[in-house]
Amino acid sequence: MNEKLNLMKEFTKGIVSENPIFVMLLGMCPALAVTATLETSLGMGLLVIFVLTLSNVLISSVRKFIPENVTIPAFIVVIATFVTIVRMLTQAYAPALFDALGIYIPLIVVNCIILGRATAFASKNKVLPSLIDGLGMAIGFTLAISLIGILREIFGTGAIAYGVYLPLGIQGSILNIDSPLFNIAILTGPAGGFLILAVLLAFFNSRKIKKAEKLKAERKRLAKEKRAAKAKEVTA
Amino acid sequence: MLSKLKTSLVLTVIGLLSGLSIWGINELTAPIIAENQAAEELGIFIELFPEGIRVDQEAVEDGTINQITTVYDGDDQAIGTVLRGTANGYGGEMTVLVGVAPNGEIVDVIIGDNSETANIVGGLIEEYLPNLNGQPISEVSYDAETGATLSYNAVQTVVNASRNLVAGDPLIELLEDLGLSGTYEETTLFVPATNAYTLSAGGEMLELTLDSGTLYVLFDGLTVYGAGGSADPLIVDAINAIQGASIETLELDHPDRTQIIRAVADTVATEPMEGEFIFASRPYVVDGETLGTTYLGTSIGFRDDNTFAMSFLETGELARIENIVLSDTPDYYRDNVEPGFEGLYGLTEFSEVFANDVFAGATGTGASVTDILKEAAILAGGDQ
Repeated sequence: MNEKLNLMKEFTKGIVSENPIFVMLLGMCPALAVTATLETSLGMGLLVIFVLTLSNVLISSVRKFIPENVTIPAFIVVIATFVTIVRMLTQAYAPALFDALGIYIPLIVVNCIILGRATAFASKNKVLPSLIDGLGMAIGFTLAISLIGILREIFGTGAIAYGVYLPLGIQGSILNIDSPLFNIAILTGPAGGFLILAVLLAFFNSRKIKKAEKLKAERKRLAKEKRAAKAKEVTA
Repeated sequence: MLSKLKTSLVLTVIGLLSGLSIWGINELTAPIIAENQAAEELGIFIELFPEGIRVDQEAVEDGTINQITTVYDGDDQAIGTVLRGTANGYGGEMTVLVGVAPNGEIVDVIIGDNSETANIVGGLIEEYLPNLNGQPISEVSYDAETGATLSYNAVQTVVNASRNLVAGDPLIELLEDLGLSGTYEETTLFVPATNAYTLSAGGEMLELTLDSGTLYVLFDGLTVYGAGGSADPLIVDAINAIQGASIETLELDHPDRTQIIRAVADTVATEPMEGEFIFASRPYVVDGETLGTTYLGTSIGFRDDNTFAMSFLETGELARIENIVLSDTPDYYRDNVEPGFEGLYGLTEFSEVFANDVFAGATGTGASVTDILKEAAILAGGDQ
């Protein structure tokens, strides 16, 4: 039961408390560069899920055989292999996504989240927790960049398109809002990534600060009550 | 020793497994990727010739053009040809597709795979390539100023190679028209804004881009053999009228006359030199008067070799710097290097100017100018 709880904690930490984008500020390059639409964000997310999960599993399973002085080169080779594989698969089965993500697919090799999880977690833990950790972190990354993608696409174009980059079999768009508020062209350009990320970071940080302030006030109140109770006891 | 052996063994095994898995996936995906690329190209062919339903492809070994695709309509009639070629641009190899209608008109020129700067390619697509559409490929002419020399040069190379395959090589035809047999080879004759060729039959040929079109002038020394091309027929006829005489006798009331005579005279007068950077010199002539010497030099810039012509008066003063070949970014050169030239004209002594970094912010390109200028100043008798 306890082990199950731990695994659940490992899985959810990447999504919420240790989210790579909004909390740890890792993997910023694709978060800014390929989030012009929901589909490109989701596409990049799926590739990162593939690479991060499999590299965590493989590194964890061979961790005892890799000499300590060559861990980084060995990890890089493993990660680069998965990235090359995912690149070829994307070019073959999702050519539109391949063209849209361009150079950012090979750049997954140098994404800090992947090497970070390999060194900080997979190289020190068993296969199952490493798999859960990789999956949770990658899903957290995917959700975060998808949120940026949704906001940029909705406020930039007034619609969410589907089937353009991902091989869904059908093409179309939803929402289709016709309003100047949802036609802010700058959001679909390079500056849009910075603007939306800044707004989201400000939002999540303000919530974090408010929570910390509430916690501080509660601790203060408890200490005060404790002191009052002690004084009462002494008087009695 | 054992631990080192273990380390090598582990890395070897990881490398082997990595290579094997990549090879396996490549075997699986390579045919699908090739199919995708073929389908993408088919889409381009149909976009160029919307009535096309079938294509017939032929591999070509031309050096530039590598594939010719003929597009057929529902009645199995050929409705167009698409020539695919590659040439080197700024960022490496660039694929260009040229669509030609059966009547020899260019339907469209499309830039395919390339590693060029995105906004330069965007500028070419929006501003310059549409000018080629509708032109007869046999007499295609290009914009002289594009602001994207190397990328546009690559397009021109592929379009010219397409023209040679579709309509025949105009240079060979020109040679035949003038009663000359044989072939030609591109050469560097140090003349700005021209292509130059040496003829196997003897003599040289210059390709000049004039406002009215392209002019080919054939000559040996200053003696003219003839001319051709898409330039104003008045110019072509005037040159052909003086066949066997010196180019300086050209009687032509036209603003391009000076440029034509100067280009030929410059080529003839150029003498090879063996300096560190300076490779040739020629008299510096203004309005028929020799005022000094022009030195031609090449030095490596930011990306590759840049060639400049630097003219000095007999007194050793710098009179003019002219760019002949620029391998670096044209906009960067124009904004950061060229403006510095004004401050150098009239000087014989440059060490103080260079110490003050006259080409601030343009290290590689500016250094190529400095290299050539230092050597040219010594040759001109000034003190560097």
